[in-house]
Amino acid sequence: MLKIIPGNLLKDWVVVVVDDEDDSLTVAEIILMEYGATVHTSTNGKEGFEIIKKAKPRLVISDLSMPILDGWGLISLLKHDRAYSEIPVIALTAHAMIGDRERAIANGFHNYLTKPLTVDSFMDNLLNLLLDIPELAHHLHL
Amino acid sequence: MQVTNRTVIPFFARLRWRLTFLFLGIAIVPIVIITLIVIAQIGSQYQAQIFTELDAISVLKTQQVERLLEDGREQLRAIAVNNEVIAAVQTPTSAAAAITVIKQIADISSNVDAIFIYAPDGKVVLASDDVLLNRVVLRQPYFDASLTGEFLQAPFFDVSLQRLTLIATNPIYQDGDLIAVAAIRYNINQLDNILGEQVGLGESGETYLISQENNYLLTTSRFDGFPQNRAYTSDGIERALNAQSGDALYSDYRGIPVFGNYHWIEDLKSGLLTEIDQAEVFSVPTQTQSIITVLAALIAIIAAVIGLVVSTQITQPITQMTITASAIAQGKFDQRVAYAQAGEVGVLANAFNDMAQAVQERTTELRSARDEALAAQRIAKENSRLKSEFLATMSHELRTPMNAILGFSSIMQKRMGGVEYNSVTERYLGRIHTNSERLLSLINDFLDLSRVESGRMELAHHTIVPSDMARKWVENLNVLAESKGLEFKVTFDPSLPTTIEGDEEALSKIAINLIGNAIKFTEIGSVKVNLSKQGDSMTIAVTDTGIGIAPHAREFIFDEFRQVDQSSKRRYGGTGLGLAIAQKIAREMGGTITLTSELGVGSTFTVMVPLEGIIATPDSLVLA
Repeated sequence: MLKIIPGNLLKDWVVVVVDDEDDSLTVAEIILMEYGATVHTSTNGKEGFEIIKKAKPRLVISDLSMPILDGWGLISLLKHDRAYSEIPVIALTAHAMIGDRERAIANGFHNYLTKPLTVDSFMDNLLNLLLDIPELAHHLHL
Repeated sequence: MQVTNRTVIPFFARLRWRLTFLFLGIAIVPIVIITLIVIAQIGSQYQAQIFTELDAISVLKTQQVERLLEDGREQLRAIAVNNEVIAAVQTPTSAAAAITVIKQIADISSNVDAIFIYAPDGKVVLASDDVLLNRVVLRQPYFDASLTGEFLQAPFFDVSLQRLTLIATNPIYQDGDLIAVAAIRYNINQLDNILGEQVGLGESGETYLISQENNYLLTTSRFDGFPQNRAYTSDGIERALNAQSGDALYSDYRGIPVFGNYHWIEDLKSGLLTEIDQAEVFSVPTQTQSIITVLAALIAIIAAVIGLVVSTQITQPITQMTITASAIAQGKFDQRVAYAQAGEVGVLANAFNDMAQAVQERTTELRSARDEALAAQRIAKENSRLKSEFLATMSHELRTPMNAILGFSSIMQKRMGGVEYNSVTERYLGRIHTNSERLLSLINDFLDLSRVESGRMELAHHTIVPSDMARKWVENLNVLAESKGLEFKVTFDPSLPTTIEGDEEALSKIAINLIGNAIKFTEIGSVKVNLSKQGDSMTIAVTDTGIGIAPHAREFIFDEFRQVDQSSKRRYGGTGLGLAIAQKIAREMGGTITLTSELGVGSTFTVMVPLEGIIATPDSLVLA
């Protein structure tokens, strides 16, 4: 059931990925870039917030547990700033723990992606999520 | 342990006092009865003795009175044959010698008041007292009788003397002819002397003579205010004057109750009464009575003391045992009854001590066993927790590099990042990727298991659409089923609600584990999943047409790391954790997983999860 996802799916997209693991960050960056996105990365929530302010991304993907400022802190900052409160943020974590999805959504995350970030699963899930967001869906190059 | 305080026993319910009173009762009642009987008997004996004494006195006094009378008569006889007297009677002029004789006799004899001799015509011719000379006794009561022979005149009231008088007479004959009569007037006071002796009559005793004549007293009363010349009466007097003799209890002439002896003296036509006040008799308790009373009191006291001692001996160890038992009940297991006594009580005390010893030993054993068990339990819990924690940490730490390996290998497989590969490196890359996925899945299983085991899995509850949930299962596992050419179908029983409440991820984890297993162990045929509602439970039945599970293996199939055998493990791969995780999650939800299987035909795993159990957990919580 692999869908053929167009290589320019995310053309013109600016995406910020925040994760304290460099490897994850690199994998996400390569995959997203492969589909045409401009990717900015950061290893903690505080720096990530600064990057978001500058880059004004269409989408933010953030790990939950990080040093300095974690994913929960970042979402709180974003949701309390009117300028960025509308940017969809997708949570990213190592393992789908029972109950995490509810908590993440309750805290303002748009949705939830689990590691490992393999090309197929990551893109498949991401596409499903993006299709659910009307203001983003029409920017997809399908 | 709740221990009621020692019961307060009401005073009269206490064994000690009950025994004491019992002893007292047993001792005192017969003693009192016997004492009363003895005292009564002694009383009646004493009474009889009093009567006997009175009778003896009466007999003695009667004899003395009769001797007095006889004494007078003797003298009269002597006078009657006295020549000088006879001569004097015949010739009054030669009376001087006779008078001297008479006076002498009268003077010598205290019994005699006066002696006089009168002629048959009644004229006194000789007298010891001159006053009597020439008196005429013709009309005196004794006169007629005195002419015929010896005569004793019963007491009569002498008008000239103004008192009762007692006269005895004896005729004087000369040659067969009556020439005169000799008479003596008894000294009445002598009766007082005789009867007045109080020997054996105590303080209130009295012996007296009462005459038929007017019921006058012949003797003087020893009590003041009772003159002789007055008529007296009492039961005793009446009976005596009716010529009866005997004794009785009655009131005497004074009206005082007395023990009385009455005796008729014919000669005197009088009653002799011997009396003693009852008050005096009864007021002097006999020595025997006193001794018996004292003895009875002593026995009663001894009985009481023995009762007290015995009951104390009996109750003391019981009381001590009660105290000790209470102490033991309160946890002082080293308490013992310090009481050495022979007999049943001693045996009881020893048995009690043995029991206390046994209780102490058993309690110590139980305590140490319990402590050991608790310690072992603590250690086991701690070990289990450490194991879970270790698993969780290890899994988490292992996963991070695994994620990186998977991420990069997937990128390389997709030839992203501008890298070029030949077919061999690509194949090897595929192997790396597959094995990484297996390793990650294993790590994730460890993590799941450790979470469930450490109780850190908390169930969420939200609305689930069973059909959507099952669609995800199919999406997830269809590729695998198709790759093995198996029919894979999910059906819904109409009984199942379109929405339910519960934890979708937990349910899915169970279902995917069971379905994955079913596909893994089935080579030909189908894997069918049926969802239904039975009673208050939701049922997920996963039926395959696989190899089946041998009966002996059904026991341990849900244990961790267990497959039917080692060869099966090699052949089918996997960690053997899937069923363990599925069952633990099901139990966490209050549900069960049951298995029916036939070798070579297939197996059915049935999950039953209470719907309210799914709903029950109110909070949707994050795993720590």
